[in-house]
Amino acid sequence: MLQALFYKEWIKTRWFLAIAFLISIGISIYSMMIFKHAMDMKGIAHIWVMMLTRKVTLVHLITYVPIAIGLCLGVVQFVPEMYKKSIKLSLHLPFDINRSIAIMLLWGAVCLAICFQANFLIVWNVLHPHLPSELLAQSLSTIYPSYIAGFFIYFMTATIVLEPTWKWRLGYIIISALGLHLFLLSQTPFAYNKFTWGLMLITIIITTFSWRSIYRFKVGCQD
Amino acid sequence: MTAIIKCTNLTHKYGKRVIYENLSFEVPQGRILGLLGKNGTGKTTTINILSGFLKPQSGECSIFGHDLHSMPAALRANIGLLIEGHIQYQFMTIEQIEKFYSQCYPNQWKRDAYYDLMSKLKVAPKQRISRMSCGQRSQVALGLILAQDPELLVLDDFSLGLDPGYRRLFVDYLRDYAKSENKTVFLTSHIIQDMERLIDDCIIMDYGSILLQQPVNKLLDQIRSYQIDTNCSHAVQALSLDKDFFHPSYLSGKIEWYSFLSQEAIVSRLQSLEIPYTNIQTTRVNLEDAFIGLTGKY
Repeated sequence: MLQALFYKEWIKTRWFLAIAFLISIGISIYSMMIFKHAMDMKGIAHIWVMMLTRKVTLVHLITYVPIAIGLCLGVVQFVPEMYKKSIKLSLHLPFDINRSIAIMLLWGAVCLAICFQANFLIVWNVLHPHLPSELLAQSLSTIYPSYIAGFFIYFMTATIVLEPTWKWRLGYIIISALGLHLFLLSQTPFAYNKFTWGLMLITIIITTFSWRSIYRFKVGCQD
Repeated sequence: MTAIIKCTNLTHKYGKRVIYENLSFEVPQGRILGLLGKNGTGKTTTINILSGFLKPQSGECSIFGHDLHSMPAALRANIGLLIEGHIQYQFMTIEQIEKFYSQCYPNQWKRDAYYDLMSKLKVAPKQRISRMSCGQRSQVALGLILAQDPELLVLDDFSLGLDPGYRRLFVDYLRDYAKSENKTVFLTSHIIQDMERLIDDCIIMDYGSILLQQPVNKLLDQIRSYQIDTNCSHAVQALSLDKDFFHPSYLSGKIEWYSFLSQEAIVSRLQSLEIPYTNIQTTRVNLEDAFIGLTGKY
């Protein structure tokens, strides 16, 4: 079961994943080149001062990358399933439907995790030798909500695409917009430190929405 | 014969529009049963219920003795499903889709059955399904069902979008397979000539109910088209009131209708209704004419 479903997801997403991976790494490298250039021009002491006094984060370019990747992966993975209701084929397979959906979402989540991990490691590798741990944490604290937002928007996109009626789709789009707004409220370092659990909880809760969409499809809900 | 599909008292509505009420039917093992009906009589609704993609408002439906909504997932391996329009995963190639399904049905997959049919198609193994014609897609879908080798095949409007050659190929392949392997088939199609070549039994649906369910041979042996020459156009109204005269219509001095009654019985009935006529013609009909005779043209 696992092998078959992962194979299908691989066929659907492989080209997108390669491109997303390259873009994600490319933007990280570009951000770090800007940092290196600033360091060469002004010296590392100047950057430390800017980070301490003006809360400069060095990674603002990366903020929207996980969100864009999460959104596009949701579309690339689930639109082909809903095209001409091909999802009926997936739901007719001799596998438990809840587990099948879980595997499809797990595939997406693991791919995102790998992509974000690569992105994060590049940033960390470049900044780590030049910044003390406090300033490094300050920079990284501004991008991790984006990573969680990437997962959030992926699960919401899956829910929206799988939902069979426009009324609920619209509702989910509004929830997505409000949720995303919450994730992007502030880029101030450590702004989300006390609410990380909240962001993760929201993301875990909305994961379950996809099953609801599938259930509604299964019982024949339509516009 | 064991009933592979059993539906009892199915009722379904879309909003306030009743599709059907208390619909009951069975599909015996080893038979090819065609569901015939005009647009909007609930054919696709029935297929959706049988495929588990629609929950009827009331009534029960079971396949292989298991209620559809509590059926073990593994049992679906024994049901081949053809979705309207021969839908398959558009993003896969001929090879990829075979590899995928062979992993889904490892204990029953018949790879040769699929590739035998694919060899007849003039497509490259790496051609994507999205770039195939409707006819080629139909052969891919059929090949996958043959390779799955299920006990029951549920086919929704299998002839949709196919040219005569592909329709004939599909029907001949399917009939040969179903008869040689003793498979049970439940299908719908808009092309009734194709159904006549394929099915053993038919269910003819009218709006809200089943008109009849019986073997096609028995239906065609019994039903007749009748035509009389008459100037009495208002006789149509008198015939319409008799439930043994199906859809009488008057055109250019002739009244035409369909009936299960013998010619002797018809003559006797016309005499008792005091309808004047000069000539009566009785004609054997094909399945399409029988369908139109029973359901009407409108």
